[in-house]
Amino acid sequence: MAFCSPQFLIFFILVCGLNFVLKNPVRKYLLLFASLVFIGWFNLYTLGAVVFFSGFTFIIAARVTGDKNAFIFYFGLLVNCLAIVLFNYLLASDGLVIFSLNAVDFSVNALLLLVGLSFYNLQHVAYLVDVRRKRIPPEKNFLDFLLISAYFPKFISGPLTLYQQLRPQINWPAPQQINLGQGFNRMVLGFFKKMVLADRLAPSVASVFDYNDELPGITVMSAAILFTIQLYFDFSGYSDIAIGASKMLGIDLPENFDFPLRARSVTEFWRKWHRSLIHFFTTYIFYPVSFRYRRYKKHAAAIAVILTFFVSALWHGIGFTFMMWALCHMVYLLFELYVGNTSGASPGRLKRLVSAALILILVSFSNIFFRSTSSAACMHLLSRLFNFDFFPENWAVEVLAPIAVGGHQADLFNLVATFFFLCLTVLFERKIFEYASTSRFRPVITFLFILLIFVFGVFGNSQRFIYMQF
Amino acid sequence: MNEETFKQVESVFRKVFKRPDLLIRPEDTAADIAGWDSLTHMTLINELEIFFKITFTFEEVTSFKNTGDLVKLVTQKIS
Repeated sequence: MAFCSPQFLIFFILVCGLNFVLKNPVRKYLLLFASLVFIGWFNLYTLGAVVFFSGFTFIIAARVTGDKNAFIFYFGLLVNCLAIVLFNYLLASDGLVIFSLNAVDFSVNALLLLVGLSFYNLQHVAYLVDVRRKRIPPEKNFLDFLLISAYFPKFISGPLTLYQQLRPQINWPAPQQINLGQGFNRMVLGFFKKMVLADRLAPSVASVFDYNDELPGITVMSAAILFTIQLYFDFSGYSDIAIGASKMLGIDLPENFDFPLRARSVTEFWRKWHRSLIHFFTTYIFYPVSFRYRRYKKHAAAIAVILTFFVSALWHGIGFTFMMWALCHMVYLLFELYVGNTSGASPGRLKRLVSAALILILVSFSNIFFRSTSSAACMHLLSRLFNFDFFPENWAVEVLAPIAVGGHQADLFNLVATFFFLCLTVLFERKIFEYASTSRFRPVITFLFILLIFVFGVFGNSQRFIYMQF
Repeated sequence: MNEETFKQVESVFRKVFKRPDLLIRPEDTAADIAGWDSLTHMTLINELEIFFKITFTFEEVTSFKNTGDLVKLVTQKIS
């Protein structure tokens, strides 16, 4: 049951209505039941795995405190980490082609079999570490633990939520009417980002990444930048829907993005992009490693960066492309660590703009590895990028056609609508979305966004979010 | 809050962030001081440990919310 499916809308309206009128503790068991139905709708194997790993982690966590129980703690960690690696390996071995949203079929069954589990097990890793370090006591009620682990708005792709962030909230009273309004508005903005912005870009990106055409370098680089923008709107759209849905149920999830396309350094980019996952990696890998080796000063941070991105690459998927993606970011961050400017002087408008553009290009270059469907396809794109034919002879055929029109499917409407909304949103993103969320005309603006979704949205393609593969 | 300790902590900040004119306030967080991020945080901690001849625990260095909390922690350690 994907967020953009009609089944989800009916399911969510039912759950939301019941949740609004029920009181605790019945309310939280309704949310648990709804979460199990939501997961079971994808696949009963996934549901079985969720209950198994929750039971396993619940039992292990009750025994991990104390010096003599280190073995149990490491055993629990190992099982959850191996599960993540195994799920990623199964995805990779199935030959899954996830990014070809329009042009190439992809194995939905394999995806649905394992959906959400790498996010799920990561939460258990954090929970075991926090209990072991006595930051939190182990949960005593298994049903509460199962709800916190499997809570459906964040199950598929986060935001990655720590146990201590959800624990107090499941006992809160039913949501107020204002929660419903704010949450609904946030969901609509999320659907707009996904269906009008991200999905409209998908064919343009796919026409470069999914075919081995002999395109000039500038076309490849342009497609990589468009993919970065597509990925951002796809994933932040998903996050908005998840956060909004949860808000309507009376539970606040952590934010996932903070306008990362405006970042002026790669370090800043990683403070703004997929923040819940970065918070996890910073808390449980980066800080412990850099603290342990802090006497080596900057070199400690360098070791921690390398280890963190190595783990991040493994978490995203097994293979050459994700490792190369991680290597790019290691190089960027180490460069900033050793050569970075800490003068504190506020840069001028032009310098800020140039910095943001440069960071977008660097991140987009790394995303060529992230987006490529195979090592061979990736090498082909790189060979086109680092070629003497960077600029084409015929711009209309070799650049404009593949990028703007979608190459393999000429569609003038897509061209105009995509780039109109894209320019508007990328340039004024913060103002548009802040005004849409906080203005006293919010109901009218929400209605306008719904109209835009129905007029310009891409329907039939919206059940797949890019980050569902992780 | 001990004024002298605060000034000494400020001098360590100036050294780590290479800004001789840097002024810190108790309410400052990492977001308020250019260059103070996860990459430089442990360097700052290490320099404070060397300067004051103290040792922080991992829980301590990840728990304070602003420079005021940090100075309080340092004051507790050296007293």
